[in-house]
Amino acid sequence: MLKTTKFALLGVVAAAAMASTGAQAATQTATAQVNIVSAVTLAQNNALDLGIVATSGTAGTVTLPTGSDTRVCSPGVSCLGTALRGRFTVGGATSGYVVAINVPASTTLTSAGNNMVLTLTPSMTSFNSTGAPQVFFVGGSLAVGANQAAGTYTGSYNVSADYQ
Amino acid sequence: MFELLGKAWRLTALKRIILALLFPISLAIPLTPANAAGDLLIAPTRVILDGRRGTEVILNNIGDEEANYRITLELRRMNAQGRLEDVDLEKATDQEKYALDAIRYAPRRVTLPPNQPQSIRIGLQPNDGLPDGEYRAHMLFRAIPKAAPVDSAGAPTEGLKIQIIPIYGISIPVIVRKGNVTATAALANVRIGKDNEGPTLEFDMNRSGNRSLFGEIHVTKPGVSEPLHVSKGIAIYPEINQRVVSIPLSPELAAQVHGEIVISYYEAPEAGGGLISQVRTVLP
Repeated sequence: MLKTTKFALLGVVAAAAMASTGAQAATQTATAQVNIVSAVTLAQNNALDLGIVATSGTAGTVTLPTGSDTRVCSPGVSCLGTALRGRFTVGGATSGYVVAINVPASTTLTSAGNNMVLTLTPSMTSFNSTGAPQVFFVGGSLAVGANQAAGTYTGSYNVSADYQ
Repeated sequence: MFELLGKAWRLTALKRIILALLFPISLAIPLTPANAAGDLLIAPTRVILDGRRGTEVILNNIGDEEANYRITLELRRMNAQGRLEDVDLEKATDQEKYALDAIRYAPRRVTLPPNQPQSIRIGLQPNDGLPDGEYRAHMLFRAIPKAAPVDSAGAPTEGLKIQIIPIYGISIPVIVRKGNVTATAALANVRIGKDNEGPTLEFDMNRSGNRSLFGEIHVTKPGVSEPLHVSKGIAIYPEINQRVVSIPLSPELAAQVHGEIVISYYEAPEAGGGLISQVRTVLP
């Protein structure tokens, strides 16, 4: 009960501090035991898009490197339309701070019971912040089966900026 | 006097956060043309609970649309490279389960209009039977993507199309310390290494004791007052006794790390900034 009350108070004090930046309110909030370093932001600028892929009787791969938006399409697949790497920006990280980027190795895409595996590659696994916004990209490689059924394949993947 | 100084510092830090909350887009991401639904700001980036008092973390929607966010506690373990790896709940140790039980937080799901901050309150479930030690979980703040309608108009009749939704977020450690916890570290085996992005300056960090260490790595040259390089936010957690610290070498930095160099590990400034460990070496 006491804990709940404290929480409620903290919330109110924080709200007051935000509204007015009053010295009194700010001082009270500051009694919480937190190592205030900085705020950090994560924003998505572009969604990962592999464009349209035409299949054939031969299996193939569509690879989108982390270094450019130009796909590499193996024999067996034809690439149409345009592709975009996933593009994210980490902002506000304190200069000198090390931030890790976590992206899973692969994810499965599905369409009406058909599957494809998309392996994922981030352009960096960590960075040492310069204080300026840091952009990173997510590319990937899609394994397309022989006579892979047409359709729109959907899926998701996790991306996180991790603080140690 | 010290008390006053402390307060002044904290006030400044808080003001900085408030500024960041008020002008997140203009200050933090001037290069970004438009923000997507689900973009987020988190402050602070590390939480330590060592008493009964709770604290809070600010989550702000910096996207240009209303967004739903989910806040979860995840288990991560540091590996020998210093990266945090996911841990399945079924494989959690007792120590990790204690952390999940001890850390209380609310709310766990919020809907925020653009530029609206929300404080996530974090507290401890009192447990006097808990052995002394350090307990840790990682709080993950994620935007829940809106279910994208399958774009049937654009569905190809022959080829196939991919719609892939990123679920993106920020994770920060939440550390619980109970009773008497201590740790020391030693640095050793400084060498030039290599990773996918190029040459690195590497060394081993050894830890002993029952808690984590956290601070800054300074690379200096004797007789040169400014550090050649500073890496902040470097931790070593109790689940490991040794990790590699790898510093990417830019061409400018690579040209300087020859001869005698000193690598120092300092506590973070807000924790006093004391020297934890230092190693002096000569590189070819």
